[in-house]
Amino acid sequence: MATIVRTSPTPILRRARRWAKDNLFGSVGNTLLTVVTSAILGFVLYQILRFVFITAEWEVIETNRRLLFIGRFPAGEEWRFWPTIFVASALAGLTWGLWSRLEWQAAMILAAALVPVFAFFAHGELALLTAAAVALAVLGYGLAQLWLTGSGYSAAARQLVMVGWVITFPLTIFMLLAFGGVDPSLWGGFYLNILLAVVGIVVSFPLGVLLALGRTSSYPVLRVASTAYIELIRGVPLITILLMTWLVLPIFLPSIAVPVLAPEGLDDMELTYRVMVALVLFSAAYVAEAVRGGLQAVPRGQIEAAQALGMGTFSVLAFIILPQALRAVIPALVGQFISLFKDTSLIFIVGSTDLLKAGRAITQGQIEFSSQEKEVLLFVALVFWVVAFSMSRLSQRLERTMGVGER
Amino acid sequence: MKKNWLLIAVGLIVAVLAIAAIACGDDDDGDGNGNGDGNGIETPSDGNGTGNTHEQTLSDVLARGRLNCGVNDGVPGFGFLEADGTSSGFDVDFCRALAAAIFGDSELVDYVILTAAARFEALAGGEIDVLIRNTTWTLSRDAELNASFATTTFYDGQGMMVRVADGFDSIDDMEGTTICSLQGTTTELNLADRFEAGGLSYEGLTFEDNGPLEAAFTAEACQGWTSDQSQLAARRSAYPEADGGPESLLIFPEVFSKEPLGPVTRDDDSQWFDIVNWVVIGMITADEKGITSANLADFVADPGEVETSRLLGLPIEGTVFDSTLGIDPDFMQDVIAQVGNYGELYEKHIEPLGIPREGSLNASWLDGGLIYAPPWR
Repeated sequence: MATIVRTSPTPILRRARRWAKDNLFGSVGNTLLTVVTSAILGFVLYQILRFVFITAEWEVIETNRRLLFIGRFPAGEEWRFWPTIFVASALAGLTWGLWSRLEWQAAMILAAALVPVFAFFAHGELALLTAAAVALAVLGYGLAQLWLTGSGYSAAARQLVMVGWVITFPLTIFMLLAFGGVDPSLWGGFYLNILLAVVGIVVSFPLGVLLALGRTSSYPVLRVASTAYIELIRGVPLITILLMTWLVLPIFLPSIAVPVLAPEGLDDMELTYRVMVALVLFSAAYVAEAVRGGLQAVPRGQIEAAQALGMGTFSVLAFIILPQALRAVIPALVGQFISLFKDTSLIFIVGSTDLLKAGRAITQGQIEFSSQEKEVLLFVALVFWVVAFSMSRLSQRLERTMGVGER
Repeated sequence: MKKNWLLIAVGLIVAVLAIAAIACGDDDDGDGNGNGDGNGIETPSDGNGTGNTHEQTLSDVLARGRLNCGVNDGVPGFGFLEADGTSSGFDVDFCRALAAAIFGDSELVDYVILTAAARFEALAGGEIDVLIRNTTWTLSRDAELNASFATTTFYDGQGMMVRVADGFDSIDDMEGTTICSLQGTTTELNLADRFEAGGLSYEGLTFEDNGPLEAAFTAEACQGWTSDQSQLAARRSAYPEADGGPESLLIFPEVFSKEPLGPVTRDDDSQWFDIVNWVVIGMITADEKGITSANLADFVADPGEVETSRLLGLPIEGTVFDSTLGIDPDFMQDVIAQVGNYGELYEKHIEPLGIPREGSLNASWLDGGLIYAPPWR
């Protein structure tokens, strides 16, 4: 036995050696490149690790975690977040279990990620609540994997989960506004980034589809109006639009009261809502252009075939054109949504304390942390990256499920 | 057909230009002070402002039940966000004092976070009732921006900080040096004026934000760091030990600009202005008389001087002095009990920055400073 091990390495080692020889040390040039690159990489990695684990003082994040995540939200009102977080956690677990499987590597990474989360952010009561949210997610996943997948209830469960996601959004807003409510100008932190992104994505998507259909419509009125809208919005920077929602919009809008959104009249709408409207209108124009690309990709023959079968205009649209068009533009749409999510940090322009603004306020205003700017910015970047990367992975998953590129 | 499209295109361009003109027109406001705020442009959140303001701010505030106070969120000691999301600082406490005077409850304040660029518009537009945000009192602001400046709460001024190791003793030693400052017309202009007056040459290096500025200063990209002295002192007190600590830095005693900072109101409402002004004066008076939040009860029980009775709204031979400000005569009792007098605020917020009150412009006139209250009668 022992002699065999010594003379021939295990297959994996042999493969690794082969791979290294083929890819890294194939020629003198390659060897040189490998050595130089790994030296540079090693140096950069060393510097980053040294900063993260030795030089950096992370106390600033721990102390200000509340400010970073919920901004100026009043003390004693935090209970408003937890129903949403619990529901979303359970739904996330269910969704993962129903549509996918958690590979053990991914499970390990997630578990590892939870360690710093608990160490840093969860103390006392918060630890219990966070643990409950995690437990709900695990429970949801387990339920989906062990009982629902493969059983006869799988399809029904999927529909229920989708309904659940749809309900989560009004629930969030309800929890923020009901029972006394919290002034929207005090909403803040990362929660506000997420909220704005969700509103922007959810509302701008149907609007964008309608605009795309309008732009490709054969009715001149619809076509000109949609085209004008899209081109106008796409030609103006988001910062300008946001500034206009603060300065210009109240002058133009009539004082017509709209329930919930503007009970005092449209010209006196809460700035946070105005920003939501601005983000939706902005994003819709880009969504429209992405969707238009998909519409043009649907072969003419598909429509003619459907018409030959006697399908009406609406049926052709709903069952033939849109499913194919939207499937084709998932990457572009998700790209737009990720960029919208990142753009939400621009609302510092109208005085809201979002994640980035909170981070800047910390290092500018709290004198004891004035030298921890690097730590704060790195943390803010990490939080944004985690969410954006998750969105990107989700879109890849969606593409695979829907078979983009295979049909 | 082609002509129509041309018409539409031209129309669209005109519309866009018009909108752009509107948007830009509002950006241009008389900002530019050296108060060390490194924020970018920013505008206030909607504080349920009412727009119409003439002589009715007090009734608006009373009807609303809360005070809308425009503050800063990034100036240590003056206006900043605490870890729990609440506003705190010297300026912020004057907002609380106003709320205590008006409602008898210092907590009834909605803080509207403003940047330098947006503050006067927010005030003029009625989004805030009072602006207490490191704002320098100048002629043009007072006259052009429809703003009224109440009694100065803090006398600041632009100064210069250097490394002890470089061996400079005054600005006049700094021929040919590089000076770091924040972008902001006044800071840079004052710097240029000072060096020109001394017949010195220098190179300016400006930054958007204090973080990169400190990094550049630490890396010795510049020999001097100029800003308001209060801000320099705050940065100095927090200078990392790894870079030498506060002792490695020296702030010259010389001040080369005047920056009187205080609350600002709209100038079409003298009743409201008087309230804001006299709450500040009352806090200074209490400081002069040694009435603090801790010993207020003793003074209420035995005022001693007649002016103390008038200040605290206590009856003098059966009648209570009526300030005719439109708020409770004993409003200063609420202010002192819930917030404190001027000296208490200074001790709480400014001294920790490493700026002692003694011997400074902000000492009481009794101790040779400029903090002086007109008589309360």
